[in-house]
Amino acid sequence: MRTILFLFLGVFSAVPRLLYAQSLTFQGSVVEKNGRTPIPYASVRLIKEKVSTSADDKGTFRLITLNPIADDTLIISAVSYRPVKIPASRFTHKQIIRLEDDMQFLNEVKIAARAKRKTKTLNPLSFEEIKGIQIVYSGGGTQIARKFTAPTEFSRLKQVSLKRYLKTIHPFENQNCRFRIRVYDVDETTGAPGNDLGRQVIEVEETVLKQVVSIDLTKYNIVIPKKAFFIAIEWLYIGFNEYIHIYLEPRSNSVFESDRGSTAAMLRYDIEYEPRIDIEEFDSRKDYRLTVYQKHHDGTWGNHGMDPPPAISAVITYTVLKK
Amino acid sequence: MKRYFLLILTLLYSYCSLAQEAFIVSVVDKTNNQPIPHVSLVLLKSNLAATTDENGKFELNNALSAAEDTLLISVFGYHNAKFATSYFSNSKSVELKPVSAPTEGFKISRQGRKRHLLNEFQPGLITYFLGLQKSSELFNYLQVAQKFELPVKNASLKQVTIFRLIWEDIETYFEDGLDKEEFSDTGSLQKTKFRVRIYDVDSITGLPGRDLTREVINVNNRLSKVIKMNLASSKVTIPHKTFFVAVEWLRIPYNLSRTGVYLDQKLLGMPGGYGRFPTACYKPILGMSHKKSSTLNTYSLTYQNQWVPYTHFAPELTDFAISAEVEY
Repeated sequence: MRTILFLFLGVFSAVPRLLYAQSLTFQGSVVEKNGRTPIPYASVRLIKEKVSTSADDKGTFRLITLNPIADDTLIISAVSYRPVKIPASRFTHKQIIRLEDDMQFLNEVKIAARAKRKTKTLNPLSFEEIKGIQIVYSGGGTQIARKFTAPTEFSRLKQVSLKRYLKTIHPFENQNCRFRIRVYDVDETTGAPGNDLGRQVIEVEETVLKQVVSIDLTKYNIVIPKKAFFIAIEWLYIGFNEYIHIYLEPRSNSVFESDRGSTAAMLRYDIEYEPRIDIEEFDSRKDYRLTVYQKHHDGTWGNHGMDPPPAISAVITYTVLKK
Repeated sequence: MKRYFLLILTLLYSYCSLAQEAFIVSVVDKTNNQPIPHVSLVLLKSNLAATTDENGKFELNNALSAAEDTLLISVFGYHNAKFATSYFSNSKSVELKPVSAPTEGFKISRQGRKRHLLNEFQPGLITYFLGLQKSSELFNYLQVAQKFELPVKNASLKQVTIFRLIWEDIETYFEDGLDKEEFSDTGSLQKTKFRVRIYDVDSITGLPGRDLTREVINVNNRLSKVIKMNLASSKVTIPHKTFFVAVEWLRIPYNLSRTGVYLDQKLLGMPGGYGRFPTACYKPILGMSHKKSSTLNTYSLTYQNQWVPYTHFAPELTDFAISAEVEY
């Protein structure tokens, strides 16, 4: 009863704020400009209010906002399409948004006659269990990116591997996952991921429990113009990827003042999103400060400082001239 | 993401509001003035829900009457009632009118009747659950209902089985330096009370319609993941070929638990990035069936008291882990 009381008191004291907050729903669908093909999982974002959602696999989306801000703008974006901005006030119900194919072809690289092609694995993964540090990248942002440095410019990305964190302490492990791989160049001013180098959506689905997932990217023909680049894993916030992490939460851990003294210890059920990515072996001599970036829900990239990077590796091919 | 902030805000505010005056509202039966236990309450505009205690009572803050919102009161066996929040300016009792009881199941010859198990599931294969607050969707539903199809009319419902989330080997986790005494009663951490509703199909909408049971089906469980409810004594007859079995959540302290949802720490006045913050959720945490059907059979009752298809796990999953044993 006491908790009901707390909840209600809370509810009603917050009501005056809610009164000003008229909720708004933006509903629509995203299709290709020339034709009717839906673009799945496009990202829809309100710039000022910083709320976002993803369209579903049929390109339809629903963005509900509780605190609309005047003169806000909707941005609808998807990989390899030009983003579209629409003033929120001009958005019509069930509007169809057409995205234009972004014809940003990268020039094919001419391979010199006497060149020799080489293959290299960047950041090979260790299969040993990581001891000591317990960090799992499992959602929180929309993407986690790790920086790589190729020996030459204009290398080609052939394969990406990642090491999943599969340890569980209870028997309800969902370990299905569907995610996307994104490849970025480095933004020269910020050092964060910059332009998307992928021409197509690279979507991966795993339903078999394997610690290391390797994805062959040869067919995507991704050229990396400079030496440094980022590979990012994009989480999809869908039911299919949900993993429930259950743990005991002592009363003293509660962040709510109202919980203290009123409720006993309880179980916490945290929803994480697969793939939960393990960290790579931490080398204290290395400087990781510009290596790991997370893309927040508001679309900005944040640096992870000295955190150990996610266990992601890349296979590239590059050419060297014969002497 | 701001909506989570509001959720947190309401919880944070609750502490500050203790000093404010509270008064009691009780929900009673109009015909005999008896209290109605566990009545569901929803603030329609604010999209918030709670359940009263066993005596139909709940405490309200006096700030409520100033709020321009509508309180929807609903409970098994009675007509719904709506009140403007301004109505509650002092302690009041609300009278609900009972709905006429469904007609007694008529006698059917038992000859040649067989038992059939519908929507059978294997407990070991269930890995997806609902009832938790998720970063992609808040669980703002009063009930969820599984749709069942039968080849004939007038079947009788014998048993309902549901699957819920239980952490069985919880004790093995105590080694990590947690205070054992605080967690000594693991059963009480996972105990749950909820209600089961059996609905006829509404012939116009195809959605759950009127209740088919005469009495409330209360379930009180401490520590089982598979919960079986024997309904043979209730003599539930299903008039049409379609019916629904629903789980109704009681938003009472007994069922309170927490889920973490991701939200922007800046909104809480903390430096940068997204963090995971606890929000209230209520047990039972219900399983999704691992089997896939050709149609979506999952429905949920919103705070606005409307049945809508529950699509959170679609298209991969189409059924709740609710099975029904019928005889026809």
